[in-house]
Amino acid sequence: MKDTLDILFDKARSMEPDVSRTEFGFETRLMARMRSERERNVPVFEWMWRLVPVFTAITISLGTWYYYVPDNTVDFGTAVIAQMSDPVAAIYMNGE
Amino acid sequence: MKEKIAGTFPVLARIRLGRYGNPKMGDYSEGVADERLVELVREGDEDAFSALVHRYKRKVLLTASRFVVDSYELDDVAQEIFIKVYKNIDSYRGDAPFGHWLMRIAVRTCYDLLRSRRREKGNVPIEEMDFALSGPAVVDSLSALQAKDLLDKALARLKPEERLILTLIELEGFTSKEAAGLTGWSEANVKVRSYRARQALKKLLGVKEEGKNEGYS
Repeated sequence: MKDTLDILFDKARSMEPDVSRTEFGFETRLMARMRSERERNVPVFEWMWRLVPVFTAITISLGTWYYYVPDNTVDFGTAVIAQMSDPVAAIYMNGE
Repeated sequence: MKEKIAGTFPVLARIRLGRYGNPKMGDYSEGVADERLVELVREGDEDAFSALVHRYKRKVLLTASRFVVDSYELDDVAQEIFIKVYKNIDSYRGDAPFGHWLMRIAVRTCYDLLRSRRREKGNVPIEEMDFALSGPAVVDSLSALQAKDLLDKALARLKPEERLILTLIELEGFTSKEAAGLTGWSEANVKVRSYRARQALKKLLGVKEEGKNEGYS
């Protein structure tokens, strides 16, 4: 003969929990959480690898610019003065 | 090193597997063995992991639902379980079925949840139960929902290990041996804890001693 506790367990067992609400879209939520956690904990070396294309693009752009710009003047002041007429340049140089 | 590179660049894993451009979870039919999916997960394939989650989510959710208070907590706990599985996938040696290994993590996580909840409760006095089951006739008059609610309230007042073992054996239907495998306790320990948990539950519910059919099962 079953005792009180066993009958109680039998009845409770007969009611399967309803998890359909949580089940719906569970994978999507889980993968999103995993991605966001991973983004928060990205190691430095991985960031370095990720930035390689950016630095490559910058290097190529600078190389192209230096190659195609006829006057490779680096000094800003010299570049400005080169555009000015002599009297204006003199005033500029003297700080008047 | 190979796994590390594949983990950093999942796209490399896909190129190597010849699956680039078609990374859908549906690629993995039911015919693909769990162990093969585990290998792919180790190589950095997220879709393989998604397929594993799809296979086992119901089982995990059903077990975890016995220990949580609402669907939000259930979602959180189930996600935590699968994240642990993902992080520890390298420690799966394959000497037991993957589902069993996963359920061990699930049970362990639920046990940790019960213990942390008990710590949060601190020294708050537990109010007296407002019911008493004087005999089988009283239980017979309860509906399944009432019985479940009553049991949930009573189980919430037990010690974490008592609640865990009663849930696994009495509600989930695991044998003592299976429960021992899931909890990491010895089979004898499981039987003793189960017996003590039943006694504690009886006391809590006001059930009087009936016959001698009580004890180890």
